Order: sequence, then C-alpha cells, then structure tokens
Amino acid sequence: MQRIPACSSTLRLYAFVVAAASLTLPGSGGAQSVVLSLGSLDAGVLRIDDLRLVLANLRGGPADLSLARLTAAGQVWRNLSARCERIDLTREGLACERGEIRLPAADAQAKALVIPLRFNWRSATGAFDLALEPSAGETWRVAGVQAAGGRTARLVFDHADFGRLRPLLPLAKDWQFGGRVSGEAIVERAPRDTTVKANLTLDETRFADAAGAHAGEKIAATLKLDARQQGSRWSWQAAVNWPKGDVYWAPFFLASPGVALTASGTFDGKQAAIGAMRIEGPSLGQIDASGIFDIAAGKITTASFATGMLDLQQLAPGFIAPLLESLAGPKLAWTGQARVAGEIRDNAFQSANVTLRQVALREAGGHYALEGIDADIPWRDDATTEAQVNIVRATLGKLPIGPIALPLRLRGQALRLSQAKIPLLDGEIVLDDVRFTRGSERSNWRAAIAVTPVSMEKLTEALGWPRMSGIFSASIPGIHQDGSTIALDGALVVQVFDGFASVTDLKLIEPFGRVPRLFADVELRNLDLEMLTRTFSFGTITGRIDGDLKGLEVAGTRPLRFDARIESSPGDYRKRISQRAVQNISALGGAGAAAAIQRSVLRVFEEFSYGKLGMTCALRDGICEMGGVEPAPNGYVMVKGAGVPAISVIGYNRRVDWEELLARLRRVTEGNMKPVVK
Amino acid sequence: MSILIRRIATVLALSLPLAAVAQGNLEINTPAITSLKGAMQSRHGQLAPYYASGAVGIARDGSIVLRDANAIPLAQRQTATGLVAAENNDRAALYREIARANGHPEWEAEVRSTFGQRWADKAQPGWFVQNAAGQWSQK
Amino acid sequence: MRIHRMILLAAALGLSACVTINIYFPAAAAEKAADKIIDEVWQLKDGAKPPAGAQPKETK
Repeated sequence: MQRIPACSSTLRLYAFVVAAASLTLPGSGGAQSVVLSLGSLDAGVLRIDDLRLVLANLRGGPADLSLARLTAAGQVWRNLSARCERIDLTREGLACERGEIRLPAADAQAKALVIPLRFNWRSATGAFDLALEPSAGETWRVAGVQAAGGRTARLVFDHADFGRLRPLLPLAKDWQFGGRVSGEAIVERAPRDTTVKANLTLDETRFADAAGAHAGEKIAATLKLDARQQGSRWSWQAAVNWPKGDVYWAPFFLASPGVALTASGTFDGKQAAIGAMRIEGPSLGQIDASGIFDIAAGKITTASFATGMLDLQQLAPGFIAPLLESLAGPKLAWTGQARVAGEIRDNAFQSANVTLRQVALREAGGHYALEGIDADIPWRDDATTEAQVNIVRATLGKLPIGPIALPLRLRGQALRLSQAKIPLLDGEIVLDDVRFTRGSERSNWRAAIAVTPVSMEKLTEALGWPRMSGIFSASIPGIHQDGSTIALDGALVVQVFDGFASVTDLKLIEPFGRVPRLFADVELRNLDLEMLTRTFSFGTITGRIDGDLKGLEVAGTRPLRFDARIESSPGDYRKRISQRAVQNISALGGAGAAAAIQRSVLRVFEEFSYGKLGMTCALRDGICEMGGVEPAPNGYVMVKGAGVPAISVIGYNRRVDWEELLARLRRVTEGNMKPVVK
Repeated sequence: MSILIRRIATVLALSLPLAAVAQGNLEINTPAITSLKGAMQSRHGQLAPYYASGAVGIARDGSIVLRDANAIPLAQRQTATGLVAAENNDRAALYREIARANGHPEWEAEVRSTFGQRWADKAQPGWFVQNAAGQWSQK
Repeated sequence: MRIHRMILLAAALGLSACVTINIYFPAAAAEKAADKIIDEVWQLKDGAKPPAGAQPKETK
C-alpha cells in the first residue's frame, strides 16, 4: 500500500529535474554536456542525497543520473547510478528507451548489479511508464495515468522475483523469501478513496525464518486481493489458493495440501480485523475464523474459530500425530470425526467447544485402544461447564472395559468427575471424586477407585491366563501423584483359590516411561493348593498355603527385588502331595534336590503325605537366595514329610539365578497351561 | 559487608563439597537407565548427521535443541522435531532415574547440569554447543 | 540501601543453596557416570579421551 506515495514522489522528482534544468541553463545552447546538481530530496519514506544528472545534450542523447545515497525504509544504498543511452527530453515529456540502473556490489570482488530499465513520462497527461528488467524474462512495470477523477497506477509483474523487496521490508529482516510473481495490481486513487485490485500468481515461492521452524518451498499459489481505502481505513477481501508446494510450520509439515483461503477484513494502522476467514483443504477440512489484532500491542484482542466436521483419519497424520510427536507423546491411529471451536481474548483462550463423533484411537504398540468415543465438551475459562464423554469400548491390553460414560465438570484449568461406574466383565470399576488440575509447572490429580467383584474366571480368560476361579476386587481410596510417581492407598484384593491375595503399598514410578516400575507388598492367605497346582499343572498338592512378597520391585515385567516366603498355612487339614508335584518341586530346587534314597520309594506311590512345605526366595541382583521351611544339613527342607508314606524334599542350591528359576518353572508347567474345568 | 558475606559463601561453597565428595561411583546400572541408554544410543545414528550439520545443537541444560532447521530438508523437519523431542524426553528421564537410583531424587537438577557440561565437553569437532550465556559456537 | 539489603539476602540465599546442594552431591562421581553413559550413547571409544572430571571440582 505504501507504493502509492512512492510513485507520486517519483513523479514529483522528475518534474523537479526538468524544472531545475530549464532554470539553471541560460541560453548558452551548444552541445556541451550539462551537469545538474540537484541536491537532496526528502519524501518521507524515501531520501535521496546528492543527486546529479549529467546530460550530453539538452535535447536528448546519453544521460547519467547518479546519487550518493538513497535511504528507503531504513535501508541505505550508496553510489547508485542510472544511465540512459538516449534520453528524449522535450516539452511533452521525458523518455528513455534503453537505460540501466547500476547498483554497486556489497564487496569489491562481486559484480555490480545492472538492471535494464525503460521510462516514459508525458507532461501533458502526467502519464508515466517505468519498466525494470532485473533479469532475463523478469519484468517489473509501473504505469500511471493522471485522470480528472484521480490517478491510476498499474503494476504489472512478469516472473518478478519478490525476494528483491526484502531489503525494503524491515519487518521481514529475519525472513528469507523469494519466488516469482506474475500478474497485475491496479491502484486507483480518487479524491475520496483509493482502491487496489490485485490478481497475482506466485510460483517457485520459498520462505524461511532464521531458525527454519517456519519454511516453505516450491509453492505455487494464486492471490486475489480487493482493497479500498477511505480515510485511514482499509477494507479488503482476499482469496488465496495454494494447490502446490511444501510448508513446514513447526511441528507440522504440509505437502501440497490444496488449501484455499478466503478472507475479508479491515485495517486502520492500529488494528487489523478479519471479519470472515475460511480455510478449506482436503487434508484439513474446513475452518472458519475471525478476529481483531492489535498491531501496537502485538496481541489478539478477540478472535474466534470453528471447524467443520473434521475427518480425523485425514487430519491425524498431518496435524495430530506431529503435535503428539513433538511432545514425545504416544503414537496413535485415529478415525472418526471432530469439531473444534474456540474464542480467544487478549491472547488467552476464553472458551472452547470440542465435539467428537464415533472417534476411535488405537495406540501403535497395541497397549490400549478406545472405540466409539462421542463427546461434547464445552469449556469456559470463567464458568463451570458440564461435559459428557461416552466411550463404547476401551481395551487395556487384552482387557475390554466399558461402555464408559463420564460426566465431567470443567472450570478453568480444573476437571472434576464426581462418579462413574464402568463395567469390567461381570463387575464394575467405580471412579469416585476424580479431580485434575493443570498447573503451569506440573499437573496434579487425585481419585478414588474401587473395583466391585469381578469373577476371576472371566478376568483370567480375558487376559489369556490359566483359568482361575475366585473373585477380584479393589478398593483404593486415594491415588496421589508426586512428579512421576503414583502412589495408591488401600488394597487390591483377589479372592482366589478359596483364599485371598492382597496387594498393598502400591507405587508406580514413571508409569508412562520406558520402564515403568511397580512397588508393592503382596500377602497370600489360605490358598487352596489343590486348586492352585491343578490350575498351573504342577501336579497335585492337597493343603493350604500362606505367602508374603515383601518389598516387591518390578521394572517393566522383570522383578528386581523382593523377599518372598510361602509356607503351609497353620491349621489342621489334609496334606498330600502327588508324585509329579514332588518331582516338580525337586526340579525347582535344582539338581539333586530330592534325596536319592527316596527315588525308589517315589516310584511305588502315587501320593505322599507331608507335614509342611514352603520356600523362601530373597531376590537381589538377579539372584534368588533360596531357603525352605527349615534348615537341613547342607541345604534346606522344602517339603517336610510326616505320616505314611512320608516324603521330604531337600534343596541344596542356595543361590539360584532368577532367570534360571523362571526357566525351570516354565519347563515344569510347560505345555500344560490348558484351562482346567472346575 | 555484603562482599564479605559473599566471600564467606564462596569459601564455604568451595570447601564443603571437597569434604563431602565421595570416591564411590553412582549407580547407573538399573534397568530403567539401561533401557534409556539403549534407546538414546539407537537414536544417535539418526541424530548424528543433524549434529554434524549444525541443525541440532548441544544445549547448556543437558538437552538438545533444533537450532537451525534450515539445514534440514523441509520434508524431514517434522521427523527431526520428533527425534529431538523424544531424545529430550529420554534425557530428562535419564537424569531423573540417575538421581532416583542413587536414592536422591532431589539431585536431578545437579545430574542434569553435570550432564549438560559433559555432553558439551564431549561433543565432536564441528558440532554446535551452547555456552553459559546461551550463545552457540561450533567446536 | 535497599539494593544493599537485596545483595545481602541474595548472598544469604546463595550461601544456604550452596550448602544444601553441595554437601551431598558427589560431583566427581556424577561426572564419571555421565562420561560413561555419554561414551556409550555416542559410541565414543573407551579410553580415547581421559575423563576430564577425574579430580573433584566444585559444582556451581
């Protein structure tokens, strides 16, 4: 828009040259060269110092124009010169058919830049026509006509490299840009208003900021602009079509998105207002936006935007995935539709509305998935709102959960869920009083979770484990997060094998990290050994067992340390052990665990009676320090015989590699993991 | 007066750690640290060309920064941004885990700054490192 | 005068910060650990460069 005063001052400059020439030349005539020192000229945005014109002949012929210094838009050029092979200087005007501008190079080695030019000015009509051809096939042309109603300037570009304008735009000094622009812009200046109509085609356009976080290459686009100035206020309408080219706008990369943008608005030097902007593209869907930008303060005064129903499958690879990736978030596959709308005031979100329809997301590693998400989430910065999120089905590993209905209360940075009951197999997960507050440093949340009885048959079946009977329940009145540690108050209780197991002092470290750590204490009480051994195809042991797993620490799926002890439960009950179970226990104890004397006896009987059995393992650094129910010479007693026929199993290996122990256990139960029908 | 106090502070700061620094080694062989190390090592092959071209620099605070994305072809910048984010996520976890493995989660910041110094010291010639004032220079 | 007091405060804070942090943090051991991990991550040859943090330094 600033072209206009520049054009008119160019006009004035030439008028001044002619007037000065006629004044300073008394009738000396002749064919001597004439040197005109025209002094300095200051036209506000443009300042010229020490302007000289050397004319070989007053009627015409070669002419040289030189200026010591040109200052425009904060930039300074020194020692510029222009030469015209044959200048026509008449009463009708001034014309130069073949001239050139010479711009000295920045350093001595480089060549000076020479730009061919044509110029024509008619004094009667005030019409002028200036054409610059900085390179072959590149033309910048400005033509002006003075009419009664005002002045019209026509700018015609043919493959004009607009990167040349960079020195003129101090605001763009941190940006590199260039490209070819073709087309025309018409500026009509009337007494009451000014209108600009531009129709431009951009090709091979590139731009980049200093850090390369925002850059584009090989962009082809068309720009149509209609603008009108009344007083200090411009109103404008623009349409941009961007069918081709790559843009990286951190963290998004858009390759030939085929985006079309239409917008209209006003501009008055202090405020830029966009009344209606619509962006459309196949990978983007449709976005409408409007807003007011305060230029002096550099902030968004107000703005609002709304998308149409966006296809997440289309949108995710270009927009959601890179955003999550830039936050080192999970890799998710998305389908479904979403609509987002929001309002911004003074650079801060005032409200937002998110609508999800039939959205499904699946974590790339298959750890979790959500299907059939329908959500209506209104959010206000300054008011409490109710949001509803419904999920038809969630899958955690192999475990199906749901349907889930979450009535959420939102206010500012806080979220609250008073209660949600989520079906889990034949039981329920009950979330109570979930509170989440997003802080600037770290977020914090708390919740109470209970799991009402779920049958172990269904749970183990869903998880693909050996089938167990019993029930699983949990009561966790408090979950606390401290940094990357989540601690659970309360207990997980599994009623299984006719006894129970409880897990307390649960702590998760880096639950979402590369190697999540779990800390817990586990207590097993009164488990029915017969059910247990049958389930794990360990042979048959009749009896009951207690166990303690203290200070359990698991990294990923690998236990790092614990102090484990299992031992026959106190009390009076039948204690029998099958031949196979004896062999298996012996195998666990390592080579030579069973005393040799008993081997012959083993073959004779199917079943033996025992007094007590048990084992201890203190796991440290991958080594299990083993023990039994009581010490034996050079070893420890794992099964202590009593009654008839009695059998004892004695272990001699005190230190067993944990991996080796697991391998033994696997060998013992291998191939026998069939579900056992009770 | 204040100068005096500062001098005392400096003297204390200099003398106390000398007395306290143990000769022992820090525990760095936990599964979490090993896993993070492995992930970073396998990522290094992808990051190394970016260090060499100056696109990615070694920041003072023990992280890495995409300092000049213009050195990376446009179509690869998204991937590079993701790599840097993933690396920084692992590095943050590494510092946290080292502090935790040694029973002092509160050491995280010191572990981070120690690493910040050592990454920069060990950077190869040609790589860009950030000095204490935040300026970048090429080694 | 106010500036004077602020410097005093800063010095006092700096003092307490230094004391609480530096007493416990084993800087040399941390450098050794860092070097070991960095060598592995960057696959630098062992022993190509002697660890610079062999002697204790103050950590600030």
